[in-house]
Amino acid sequence: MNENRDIKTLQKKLAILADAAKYDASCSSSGGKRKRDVNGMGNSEGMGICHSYAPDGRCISLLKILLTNFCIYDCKFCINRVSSDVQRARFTPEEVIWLTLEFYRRNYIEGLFLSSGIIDSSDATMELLIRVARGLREVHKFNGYIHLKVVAGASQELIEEAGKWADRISANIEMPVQPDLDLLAPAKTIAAATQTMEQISDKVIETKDNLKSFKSTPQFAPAGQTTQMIVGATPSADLEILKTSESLYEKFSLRRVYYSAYSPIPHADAILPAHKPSLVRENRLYQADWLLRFYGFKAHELVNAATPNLSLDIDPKTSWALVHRENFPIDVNKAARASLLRIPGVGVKNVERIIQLRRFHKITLVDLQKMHIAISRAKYFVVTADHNPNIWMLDSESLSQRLKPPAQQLSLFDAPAASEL
Amino acid sequence: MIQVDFEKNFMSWRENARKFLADAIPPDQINWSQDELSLFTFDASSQDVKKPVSNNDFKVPPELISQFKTLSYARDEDRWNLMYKILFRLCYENTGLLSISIDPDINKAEKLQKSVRHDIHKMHAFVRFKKSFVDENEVYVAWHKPEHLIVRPGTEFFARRFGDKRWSIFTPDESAHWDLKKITYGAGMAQRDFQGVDDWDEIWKTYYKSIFNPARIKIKMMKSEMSPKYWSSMPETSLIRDLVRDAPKALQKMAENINTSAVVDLKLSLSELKSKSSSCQACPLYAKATQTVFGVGPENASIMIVGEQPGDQEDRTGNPFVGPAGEILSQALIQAGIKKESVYITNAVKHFKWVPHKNMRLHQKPSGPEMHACKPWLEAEIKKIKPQVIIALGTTAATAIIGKLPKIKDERGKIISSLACAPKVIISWHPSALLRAGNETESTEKMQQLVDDLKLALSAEE
Repeated sequence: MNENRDIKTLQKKLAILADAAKYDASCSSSGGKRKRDVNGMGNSEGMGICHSYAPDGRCISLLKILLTNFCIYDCKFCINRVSSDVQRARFTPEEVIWLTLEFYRRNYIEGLFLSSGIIDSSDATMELLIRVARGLREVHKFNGYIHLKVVAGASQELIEEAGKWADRISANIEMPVQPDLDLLAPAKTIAAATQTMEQISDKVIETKDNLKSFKSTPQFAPAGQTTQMIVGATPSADLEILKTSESLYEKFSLRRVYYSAYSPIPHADAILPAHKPSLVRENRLYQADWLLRFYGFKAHELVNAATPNLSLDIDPKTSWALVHRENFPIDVNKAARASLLRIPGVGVKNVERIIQLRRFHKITLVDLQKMHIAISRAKYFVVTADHNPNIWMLDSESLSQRLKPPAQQLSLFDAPAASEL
Repeated sequence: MIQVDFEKNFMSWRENARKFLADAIPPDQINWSQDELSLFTFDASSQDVKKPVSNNDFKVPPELISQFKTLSYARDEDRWNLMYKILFRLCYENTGLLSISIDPDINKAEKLQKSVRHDIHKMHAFVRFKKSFVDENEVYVAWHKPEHLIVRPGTEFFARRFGDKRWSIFTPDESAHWDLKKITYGAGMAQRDFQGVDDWDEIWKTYYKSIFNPARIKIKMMKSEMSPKYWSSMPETSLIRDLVRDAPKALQKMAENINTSAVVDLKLSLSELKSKSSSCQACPLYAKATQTVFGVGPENASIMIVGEQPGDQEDRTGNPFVGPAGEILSQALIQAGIKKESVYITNAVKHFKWVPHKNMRLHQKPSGPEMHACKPWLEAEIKKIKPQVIIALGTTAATAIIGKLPKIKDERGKIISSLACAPKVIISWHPSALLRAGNETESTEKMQQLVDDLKLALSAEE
């Protein structure tokens, strides 16, 4: 009877505090490695698992909730800002632990991603988040995945404790540049966020170093740190966004920068866009981000003062190739890895395959097709062992037209008919 | 043609394959499938016996063994033959065969393996346990329909993860049971025979519904990652149809709610802004108020004072800080040595909020959304005046200025220089806090602090 009533309360709070958390894009559960404790449940085997998908196409891997959506901050882009009349709720740490364990036991989730509105102070909030993680690990011997949000401005001591229990910790940069924050979140600064990131990154490096000498070094956020940037809420161009990402990757050895297209929230400010988020732009940013991390591109190669935004109708790699045609065609049987990585439509895995295969076999255009390379894009840029009739198009003015996908592919904005199901 | 009679598992296939390979029996002479009766018998003497391409005793790379194991779980009758064919060609034709990913056999094997691995991964993801009791023991049971024959390779994961409780996973082909020590396998089960209910399914569905963002619809993406073939045993999937159907409605509702703050044209002059503000209806407060009370003071003021909202007398006269609180502010300004006429004085909220009480209009604190709705006016005033110092009086004004709910007690008396709105910002008590003070001592102390903070502003401005 008693538990029954508690479940009802829990369910009501969950509806509010999951809704409040859904604007955070990250849900990854990868990178953690923990074995099950003999007295408990849960492990992480390195590769994340998406236990479900919502109709928004997003992976549901973790129980992603806020401890509370009460918040003393008044950030205009955020549904939980102090001046919002959204319904408020607050979990106790024990309730979050209960939910996590019951969800995990039924194999709904890989673990917990816990964040919170800021109540009282950064440290007071951080202490509550830590209490949940510590309870799961120490009392319940839970070794599933835990991602804790680090509140900007939290003390070094608390950051270290969060990293001790969590697989991953993250501090949100929120916006690419300070003027954007000034406009929408006056109390927040890039400096405070990056200082927290630096504290995390220093500790990650220190722990790695110590691990070389002492195997008993306590873990610190083994799955590293990430951050999130909201895009499209302000006029900031992709140039600013990618420059910021590039510098964050360089300085703080981040695993990921998440880009979250600003999504309209109820009772938003008039200066914020009311239309649906630009998922195409978000996607282009992720593609560009990938190029920075795995393809040896620099941000200034993709965007610059003259073209500060990524093209929406052509992917960033193809766009780059179109303005740098002097680098093509590339001979797939001879070119170095770095050059292969620049061919439109050829991914990192396929570059490895090409290098493997060409030791035994002269690669032809058909071979590329069989490797599931996006041949419709790649064919204009490659020399193969056979005759490739497409490369004469390389200097043609109409090439960019040919590389544009048909117009209807851009209609990602349309709400789909239920008949699609 | 050789008809192989073997247990359809990897070990048994391997034993047979070894023998055939040693005898150089080509793949097209072996029938691994039991369905077809072989019509021909194989006559080894009539064939040219092939020679292995290298003398390595048919040693194959260890990763091939694990790849073949994976392949052996595929629901594909041809897999045994395919495996042998690859083995034979590797030993008798081309030692580099495995690197040629475009070879049709290698390609097919890779595809099948990928499909099996994918299916195992999806089993790890989509199995949904339901709590139940067998002989008073807590047991977690699940029914899942995999695409391939993966109960054995797929369920070890659950022993590693959930080894502390008993569980059983049923599939149409086979079932797996964990007894806290080992997994045993049993018969399969049809979905209609599986009985499992769990109250937590509803909680999980609540989560699924709440985490979904109706502004982003990507059904194709969802279906490619979570194939409908798995849906029948996943409780949350029953919600999908309605969520998608109602998404446009949810968005519509949001769009209707969107303009809840004043729309202000920053190209207007201060006096034009003032006259525009007189017709503002961005929040419901205008309905009960007499008029909009905009800021007053010189446009080149270097100090700006922001209060909460107009009171009864301000509402009647149209000027800020002219009532009892205004009286206190005037005194404090005099004590601090600041000329009231030199300061721009305004409020965070520009309409009077009140409830009737006896014969009075009783002041009420403006709500967050009301403060938020009015904020563009305040921001416009700041942009026009460009003050050196802003003094925010009380929590409503301070929240509007610093973007965060402050504790006046702790944060007053300091110069905040990290904000974009003005070089210096100071927070202090609202004069009405003095009026509400519980006793004389408190009121005197707060007055002194207000004066100190105004003095601080004066020195900061110079």
